[in-house]
Amino acid sequence: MASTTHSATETHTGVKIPVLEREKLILSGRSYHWITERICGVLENRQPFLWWLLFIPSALIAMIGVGGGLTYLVSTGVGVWGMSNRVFWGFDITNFVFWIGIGHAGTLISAVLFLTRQNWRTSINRAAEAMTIFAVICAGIFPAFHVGRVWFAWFLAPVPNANAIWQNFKSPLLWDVFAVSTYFTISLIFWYLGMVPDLATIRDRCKPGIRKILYGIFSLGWRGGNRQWSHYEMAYLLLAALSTPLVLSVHSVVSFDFATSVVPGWHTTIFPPYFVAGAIFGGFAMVLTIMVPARFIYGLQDLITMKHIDNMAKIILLTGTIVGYAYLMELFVAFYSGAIYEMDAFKFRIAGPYWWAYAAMMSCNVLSPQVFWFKACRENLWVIMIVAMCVNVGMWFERFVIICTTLARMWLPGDWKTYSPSGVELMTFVGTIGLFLALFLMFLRFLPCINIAEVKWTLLESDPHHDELESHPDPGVVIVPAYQKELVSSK
Amino acid sequence: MSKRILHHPAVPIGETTVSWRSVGQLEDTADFRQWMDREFPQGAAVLASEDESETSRRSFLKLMGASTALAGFGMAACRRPEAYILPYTKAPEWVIPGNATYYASAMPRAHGATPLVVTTFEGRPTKLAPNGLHPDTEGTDAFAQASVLDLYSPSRSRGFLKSGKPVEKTKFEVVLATLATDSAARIGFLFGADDSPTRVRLIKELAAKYSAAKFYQYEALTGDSSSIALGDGVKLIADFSKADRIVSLDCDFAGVDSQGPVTPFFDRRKPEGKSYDSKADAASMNRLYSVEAAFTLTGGMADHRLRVSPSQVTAVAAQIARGLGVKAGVAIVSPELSDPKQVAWVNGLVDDLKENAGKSMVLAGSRQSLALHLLAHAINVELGNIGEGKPLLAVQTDTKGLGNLAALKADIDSKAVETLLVMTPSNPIFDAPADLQFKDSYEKLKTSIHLGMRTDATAQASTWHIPAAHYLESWSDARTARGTHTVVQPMILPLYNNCISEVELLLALLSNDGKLLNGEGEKGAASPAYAAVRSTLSTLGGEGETAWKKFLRDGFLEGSLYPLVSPAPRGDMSAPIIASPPTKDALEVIFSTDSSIFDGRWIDNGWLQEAPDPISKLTWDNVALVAPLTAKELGIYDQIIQLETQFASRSPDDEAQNRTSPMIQLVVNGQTLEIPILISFGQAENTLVIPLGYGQGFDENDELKRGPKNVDCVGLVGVNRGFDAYPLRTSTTAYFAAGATAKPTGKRYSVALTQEHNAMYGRALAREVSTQDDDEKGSFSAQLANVPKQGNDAHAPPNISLYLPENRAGKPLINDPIHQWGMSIDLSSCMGCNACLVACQSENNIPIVGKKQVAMGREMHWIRMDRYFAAQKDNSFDDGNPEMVPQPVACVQCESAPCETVCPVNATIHTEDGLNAMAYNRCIGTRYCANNCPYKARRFNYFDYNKRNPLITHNLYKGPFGVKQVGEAPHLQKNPNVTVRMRGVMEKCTYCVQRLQEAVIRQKRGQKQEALVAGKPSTEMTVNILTLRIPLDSVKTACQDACPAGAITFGNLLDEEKAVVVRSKRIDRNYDLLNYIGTRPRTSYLARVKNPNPKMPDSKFIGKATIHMV
Repeated sequence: MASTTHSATETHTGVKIPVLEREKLILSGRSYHWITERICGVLENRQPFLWWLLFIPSALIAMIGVGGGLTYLVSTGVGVWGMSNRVFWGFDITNFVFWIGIGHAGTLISAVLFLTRQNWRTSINRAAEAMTIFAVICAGIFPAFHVGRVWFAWFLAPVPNANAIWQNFKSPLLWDVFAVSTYFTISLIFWYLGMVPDLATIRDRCKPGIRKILYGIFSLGWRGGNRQWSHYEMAYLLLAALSTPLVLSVHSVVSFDFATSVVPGWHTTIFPPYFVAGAIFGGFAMVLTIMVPARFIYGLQDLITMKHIDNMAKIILLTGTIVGYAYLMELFVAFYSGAIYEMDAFKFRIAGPYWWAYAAMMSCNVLSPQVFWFKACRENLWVIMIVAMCVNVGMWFERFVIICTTLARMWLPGDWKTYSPSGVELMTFVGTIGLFLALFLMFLRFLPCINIAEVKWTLLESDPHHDELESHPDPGVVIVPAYQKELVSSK
Repeated sequence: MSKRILHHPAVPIGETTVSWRSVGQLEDTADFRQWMDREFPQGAAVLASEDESETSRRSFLKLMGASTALAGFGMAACRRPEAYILPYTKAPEWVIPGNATYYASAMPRAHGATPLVVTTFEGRPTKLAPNGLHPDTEGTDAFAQASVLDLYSPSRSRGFLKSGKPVEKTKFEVVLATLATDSAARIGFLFGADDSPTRVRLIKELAAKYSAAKFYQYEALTGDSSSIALGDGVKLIADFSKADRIVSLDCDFAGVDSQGPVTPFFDRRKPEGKSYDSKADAASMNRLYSVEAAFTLTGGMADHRLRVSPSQVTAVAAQIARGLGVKAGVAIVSPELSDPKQVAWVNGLVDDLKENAGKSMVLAGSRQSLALHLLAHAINVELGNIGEGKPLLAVQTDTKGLGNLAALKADIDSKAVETLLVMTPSNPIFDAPADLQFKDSYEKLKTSIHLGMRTDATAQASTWHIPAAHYLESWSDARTARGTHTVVQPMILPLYNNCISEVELLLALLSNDGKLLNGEGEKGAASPAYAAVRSTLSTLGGEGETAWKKFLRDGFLEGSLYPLVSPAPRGDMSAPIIASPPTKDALEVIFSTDSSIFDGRWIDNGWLQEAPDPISKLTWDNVALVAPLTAKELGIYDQIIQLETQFASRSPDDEAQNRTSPMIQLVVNGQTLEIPILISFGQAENTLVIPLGYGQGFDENDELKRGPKNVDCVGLVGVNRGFDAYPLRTSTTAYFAAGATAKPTGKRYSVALTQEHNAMYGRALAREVSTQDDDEKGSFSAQLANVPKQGNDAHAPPNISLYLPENRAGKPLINDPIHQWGMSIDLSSCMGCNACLVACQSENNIPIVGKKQVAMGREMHWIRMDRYFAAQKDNSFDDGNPEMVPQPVACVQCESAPCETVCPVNATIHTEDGLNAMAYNRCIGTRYCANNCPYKARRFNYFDYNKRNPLITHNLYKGPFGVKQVGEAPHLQKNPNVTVRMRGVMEKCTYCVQRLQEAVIRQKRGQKQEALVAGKPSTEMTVNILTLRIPLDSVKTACQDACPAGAITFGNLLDEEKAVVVRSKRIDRNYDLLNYIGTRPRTSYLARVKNPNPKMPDSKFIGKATIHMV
């Protein structure tokens, strides 16, 4: 192939078409060794002071908020939360949907981008998957504990019993149980499987001792042999294929909780795609929220480059716009339905007692990502962080608007009543944020936060044929340098 | 699992076998035999070893593990409720454990006893229902329904008090013995306004025994104008079945101002007739005109309502009288109405009355002035409305010759009374008019003896307090409104040994030695009251054993009505002074009877406290109510949330648990009261309505730091509740006072409302039509036909379900061919009182949750009494007078129930007979069902309301450390056929499934009995659909049973036309609430019909609550 290209170049006479140079995914010409050293260094070196500064409060908040809050809840009754006999769901389901949505970016990055051969995923997939696991853990707390009698929550499991009572397979809430637990299981296996070669690397670098034994156990005897790689890659591919539908299914099923009901404002066919888009939107914002600071703290700029951030910003722009479309379509359909109940549900969202939540949702989710149309904004990490935070807040408000505003204004004005959360409820929500952060910090501390093995594939050295070094096969093409700024690593 | 030990068949020593398993067996050595025994040499130590029978290491570890595990679980989960079940040594008659027995009794009340049938389980009265056999039956109101709770009330008085300190009964017996022997004692008796033939008889005997005895009667809020106007003990009884036109002059006859059995009034609000068996006919309906200041239940039913302050009602009445040409003196001198609208209104009314002379009635509120009563009577006489066969009957009651409180005070001051027995259910120290200074005189008494169920202010101020027996614990009798002699029989001995009934106390005084016998009487004999009641019956014509048995069984003595009289009204009445209408600087304050606690006597009844006020929807407190315009003029309107603005932004005073109300400082009669204020629609401008009876005692937890004050006078339910307006009243301004001023104080007070939005927001929910033609919607019949198409239903497409109602074989999926239950609620006769709500509470073991939880929207009532105001935008007659339509909403038992599909654990499911059933044991409390319920008819137990006491501050929030149970006896009231729900469980209306099942089982059992009686073998019995079906309309739900308005019909839909409920569902007025969703509810509503007079100036604004909604 190389020889024909050379001859073609000489014979070409026409106008040369400029084509962007393929951007490098790893900058500064980093070597295999540097990558291994840098990533393993994150967990092998002493953690920076900042780690402790974040971890201790997070862990404390998690213990008090989640541990204490839930103990109080279970011992005393759901009444310690702010729900009423008008608004039966409040922060509990709002937070559940919020966290489960955040979990979506992980699967998308690890599975869908893997299948579509998007190599840039390798720098961020591990952290995004970890985030998924932790977000689903945070999410799972709410539906599990919001029930009135948590000690009977096992009724949700299809366990054969003497009463021969089965679950109600018509209930979206049951589908939810299955969808979320499947998602969690697959995500966990996928995450762990992808980590096995890296765990082996760490094991090999460890001094003999307890660490070596533990990493040894979890690396499942990985030796890096060809047969192992071949099996591994097949397994990884299959798992990726298995989890791809989950990206669509989980949040679709979560949205069925609302869409299959008869509640005006919930009973909407647009919900499944709109929820999925919103989940990816929120998930990517959370990846950015976490990875941008982590990249600075651990000096990973050469691995997580502006290219990655740029890509994620574009996805946020796309999904944010889809979400905005869905918001407007909801309004149109309510208007077009001619049903006073539907119309009023949206009027109350916009101008009712929770207008501020709707305004926060609209401005954070629809307006703020629009700045990503501009390249300058996608390159400015401050802007990116602000937008990502806006989206995190906006997506939480979206769930609040859908759940609480709707329930506060249903069919009969006689039962209208607004809802406000109790202190215990707030504490539990803050506790899950603490739990999420604490778990993520522990992940940084003990596990390789970037996929060492896979990220190396994107290096030039991994391509034995040096395809990238050759000039473009089409003689009518001239390669122009990418706009990407090369960030020089501090080390 | 124990290890299996293998037993090989023993081989006798020395025996050689043809086949062998090993060389060892062939050799058959002793070693081999031992080895065989052990089978598995490795486990030999464990198995057949000596210590196998004892504890081995393995079994030890097994046991240890198991017991540790069980200890862990056992501590948490295996708590066993400790209960002692003992058999009766001597069983009460008829008691079969688990089976209810029913007895006739009655609740004595000032306006006439309420005849009841009491349900008892193992001797415990649990539920009250109206006595359907009784000629004066009229349903039961919320007060009657809730009175059973008083029996078990934790704040019930249970011991004797001397000057507020507990003493032994014997101490009082000495006093009583002395009193009984002193026939010259200057003794006075203060009774309530109820009428009891036995008491009347005993009064005569007492008067004979005590030469100086004096008798008085007092109840705080039963006005005496009527008896002053008509003669001592004379009253008018309304027979609503005969009245085509009713004029209520500030008379809440359907609510707290009863004028006679009210059910016939409601029967005539149904244009199809009481049982929906004829075609809708506007002429069969009655027409109600109401003149009142603030909405009452009666005013809400009115076809024409005129808002005037109470002082102006007399002027309106005088105008009516003049229009009718009544020659009474009062009518002539009273000023003319100046407002041309009011004049036109009165003229229309006068014409209507003239046309219906002899078939109409004019009712004056018992709290109104003497002048008004004289006017009303003159009008009724003029129209010929009084007399036999006429709508009004004048009767002579037995409560003749009793002095009033002012007379009592004078007698105390003049030492004519030195010993006073207070037996009135009212609380004179607390609720007497302030200018009477009754307390000062009361303290002058040598001995004051108070008999009461509560240790209220009067009990505390008395020398002696005697705990009273509840009417369900004592023998007595009573008169109903029309005078029917009705038995009050006990269901149970007094719960507390010291409790004494009124009759027993009077009998003790009548006895020679003054021995106080109560409860079981002496040596197992019946209480002396039993003999007294029985002898009263014989004096009234019920001689002999049969008559007595019949009296007990039926509950009444037939034909024992009050005698009719022709009253001669007083003619000496000079012209009344009618105060000028109130202005914003001189407001008129109306002291109203509270619809929850009456005059304050039920302040310690949790069911009543938590039942929302029918008009304001307020629970647990009283507030001042004011018209919106007046609030604006007073400058406090903005501080009271504008709930009616459709898309109001959230104000600092938001909804939900933080709802507070601004407080005003009210000055009237020289007294000051700080009280929170709420907007009340349809109230006359410049009036303030303050319900009475609250503010009886405060402890240190009071929100406004008013305590500790009078904390002994109330129990846990009533403490810190509301504001005491009694000190503002004087004898002359007992019910309304002019010249009040109000100004905001800047303080706020939390209020617990069960409904915060008063408008229907353009949704045709509680539908209404008018018998008069509408410009757009046409005639009455056209409007009726249009009822199912009001509002959104006019243009909603038909509901097409993906699911077929039958399976592929064409068999219906809900397929009980015997019973299919259904209900209809007639909004035309429903007035929105809380009778059904409280009846449901007592039938279904529904807990109270306390003020804070109500404020958070967590009340547990299975029936939510929605009440909507509908204002006509273009109401040129009176735009401040909206329509008021109540709508009780309970679970409507959807055939296609949104709740059922979403429950993940199948805890709510559909029964074959059409109920939407709730399996409490299966419920884990996801609350999804309740979110998806369009009617929000489901209630969630956020806390252990049944187990933890919600009345102690923060107790519910203390979880396992909280105090358990309200008092010591509340569980005795519980209906054993209904599960007491724990926390974390969803609950809702079940159509009283326990009653339905009981009826169904009874029907099955009855067939067996029939076969037995007939002596036929079981093989010859025929069982089919018709024999298994319960008799027509033979089962009633608790709400239906209690409803005084007959608004709720219930029955088996498969009974077809024969069943009232089926007929009601086939009339035009029937519609499904939220039909748009396609839930196919089994409870449907019947639109309200207003019957305005076309000649009235406001007629075209009547009955239009929903008719123009699209």
